[in-house]
Amino acid sequence: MNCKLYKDMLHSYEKDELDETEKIQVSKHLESCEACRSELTEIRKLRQLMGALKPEGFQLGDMKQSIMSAIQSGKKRLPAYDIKVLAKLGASMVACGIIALALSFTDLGDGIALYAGQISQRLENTESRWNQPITLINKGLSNMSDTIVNLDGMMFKIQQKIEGGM
Amino acid sequence: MKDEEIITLILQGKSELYSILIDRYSGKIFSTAYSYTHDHEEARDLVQEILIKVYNNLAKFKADSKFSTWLYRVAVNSCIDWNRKSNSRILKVAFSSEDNDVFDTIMDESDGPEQALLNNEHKELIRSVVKQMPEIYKTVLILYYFEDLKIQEISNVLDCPKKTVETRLYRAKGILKAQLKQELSGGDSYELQTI
Repeated sequence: MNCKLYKDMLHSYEKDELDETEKIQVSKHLESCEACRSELTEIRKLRQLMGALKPEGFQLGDMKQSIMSAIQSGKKRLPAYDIKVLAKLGASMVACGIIALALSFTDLGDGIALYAGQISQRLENTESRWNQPITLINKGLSNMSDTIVNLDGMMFKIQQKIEGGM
Repeated sequence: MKDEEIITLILQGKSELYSILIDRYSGKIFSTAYSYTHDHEEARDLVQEILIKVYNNLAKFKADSKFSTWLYRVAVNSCIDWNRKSNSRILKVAFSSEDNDVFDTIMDESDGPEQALLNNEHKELIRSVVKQMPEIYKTVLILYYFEDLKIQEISNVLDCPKKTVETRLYRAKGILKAQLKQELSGGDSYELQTI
């Protein structure tokens, strides 16, 4: 077995998780390998260092009541970062409003207003173009209706003549 | 009463017993969450979210594994999700098994006259470096060193082979060491590269 494989096993060795055979192999290797001994020493130092880093000051406080209430009402509390996303969205909208307001006092704002006017005019033209065929269709329907009325009148006269002839 | 017995009773309708599990595990979950967030309030929010999520999924818990393992799995996944949403800066560093002195430096300096200040500085430094590490290495470091879980337990939590955990731990320690050395030496002009 090469040194790298022993190094991988050292975290398990430190917490006494190797089987008997592996444990004997690693112990034997450690006797002759300076690098692996040093690695094991580091693991122990790091455990000591990081073990002392437990966060202090955690108290359940009213959190327990809050969790139990959420559970019993079947509702889930929104996590803080969701609220932050909403806050960011709100801030973005406010920023957009401020930029628009600031632009309205500048030459660029006038340019934008002019361009907006042109867009509005184009929209009106487009609307009138849309309305033209609709007007034509309406006119056609009206003519068709008149024709039907005339045909109806002619049918009535023909029917009267037929009845008079009989 | 054992965790599994409490869960059986909760699933039978005694939801108030969940408060016992909250008492037992909220501190440990907070410790894990704090290792990811490095922020007290964010960690508290995560603890609350995790404990509600665990309750809502209690019926899915299978008694063939330990409740604490399953709980850690939910907790770690929630922390990883939080990490992704918070867009944390991730370190990409080369690591080396050299530089044996860096842990000594921290420990030796902590014995000096400015012990309290140095301790706090080093605590912040270690936490900060761990927080910025790539996810797969950060998680094993937190569970092994902060939470003192065994390799087998970490393997169960992460649902991956023991050998994978061992390899990740070896690399994670190397990254941590390299990054600590860089920070302690001023942090300039360190060549970053992917692992």
